[in-house]
Amino acid sequence: MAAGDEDAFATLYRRRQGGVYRFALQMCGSAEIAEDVTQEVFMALMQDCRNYDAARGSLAAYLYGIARNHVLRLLQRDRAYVPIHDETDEDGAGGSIHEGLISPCDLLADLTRGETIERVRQAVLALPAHYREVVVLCELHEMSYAEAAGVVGCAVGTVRSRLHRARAMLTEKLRGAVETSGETGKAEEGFSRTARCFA
Amino acid sequence: MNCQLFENVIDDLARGRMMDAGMRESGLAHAGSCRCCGARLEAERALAGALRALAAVDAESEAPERVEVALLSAFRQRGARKMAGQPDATLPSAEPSVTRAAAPASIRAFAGVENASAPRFVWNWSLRAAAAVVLVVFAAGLGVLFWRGSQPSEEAQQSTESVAVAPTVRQSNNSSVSAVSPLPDEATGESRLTQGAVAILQEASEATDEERGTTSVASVNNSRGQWRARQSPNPARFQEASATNGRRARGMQARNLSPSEESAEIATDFFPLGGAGAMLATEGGHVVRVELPRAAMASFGLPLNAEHTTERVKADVVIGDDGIARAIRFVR
Repeated sequence: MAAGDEDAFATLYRRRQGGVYRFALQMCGSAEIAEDVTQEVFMALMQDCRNYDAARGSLAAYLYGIARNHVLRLLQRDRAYVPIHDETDEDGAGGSIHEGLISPCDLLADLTRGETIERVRQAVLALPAHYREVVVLCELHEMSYAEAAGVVGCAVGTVRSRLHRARAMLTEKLRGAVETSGETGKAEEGFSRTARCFA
Repeated sequence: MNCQLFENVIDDLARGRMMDAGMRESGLAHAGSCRCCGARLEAERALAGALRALAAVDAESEAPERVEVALLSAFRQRGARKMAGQPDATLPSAEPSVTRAAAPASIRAFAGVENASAPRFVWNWSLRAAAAVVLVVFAAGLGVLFWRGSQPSEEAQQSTESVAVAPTVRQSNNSSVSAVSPLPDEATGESRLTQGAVAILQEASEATDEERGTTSVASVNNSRGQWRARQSPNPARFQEASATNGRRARGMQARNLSPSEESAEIATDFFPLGGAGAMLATEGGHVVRVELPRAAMASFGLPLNAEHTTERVKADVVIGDDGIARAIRFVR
């Protein structure tokens, strides 16, 4: 790629763009920003590919690191304009985690599943950035603690503690969602419950 | 296993990761016996399942194809630039702005969403540097204007005190050009003058030009701090000015002062005027005696007594054939 091989660049892009795009999407929640970040990451790679040192980490971690810097910069720039998600806002029924996974029939289960996933997404996006990034890397991208530490640029123990705290915050947020939708759950107590884990 | 040890393994248990079989069994046993830890494990499992579901939904997400098209286009452009022999050093600064400006616009035009959202202005380092340069230039301009604006206010007081200001510029046909020393900064091309000083002396030079053309003498307009030409009401002075205009000091030939004049006047070295260019040895010119506010000495780095800033000081200005002031010295 450094020699100007377009095919090599295209291959590399097709192999890595998905992860970079998803990381940006899950960090920002905006497809447009994720698109821009993806482009910026590969533009940076195109210009400064000699900066990559294989001895210091994998190429994926290098790309994630660039994406993270862009995302954090964009988040900081748009911090005043990002609407704060109000998890106490009632936007519909059936948004719980535990009860949401239990549905009377498959149709409702699919509906509930979509709502639940959206609720989880919003809970992740509502996390502070330094907690959100470790959740996205370790939980959604299944990176090891060491890999995540390489991307974030901190110690493994820091990643571990941040992830622990982030999980607690997520659980708290989603529990709040369960409690706010508790009345709806009680109204559905006549349903014959079928435990179905969508995961 | 107690609750504290269970906390260490709950993550692996909830996510079904590989772990020691004994620890797993004892952890599950503890979760079964401890209601609190059981609920905690259940919650962790639910969270892990929800996050896995989110990851599974997003697993299909990929960047649109137009991003790849734009990137490959940029890659080709970069390759072509390299082939053309453009140094790499220009690429990092030039290419991002090109790509940011061109690619997203083309991407959005291609997608038909050009007007779907307001264009986002992205600051890059080149724009920041340009903005900083503009700000510095603007601030310098303001400073010069402020400085020039502050000069007349000091002189205005003096002008109110001495309303009748005599014409103070005269051709110094007897002034000593021999005192012209080699210009200190001529070799390096640097100037010790401030912009304000150059402006003052250029105005003095202009005044002398006017004097030549209209056979008038110049004086300082104290109220506005500018050199103005005034018609001389004195015919004798008119003749004197005409006569001295015809006696320019060609080639800067040295002429000595009379002993009485030499002892009477103490002069500084000539200070070059940066804006007027270096003076050539073969270049002609003449010397004009002017009076300036004493504050002008500060513009040339000369020490100045703050108590006498409103007073005036004599100065000799060397003016080239082109009418541009080349150097100045202060005389006492």
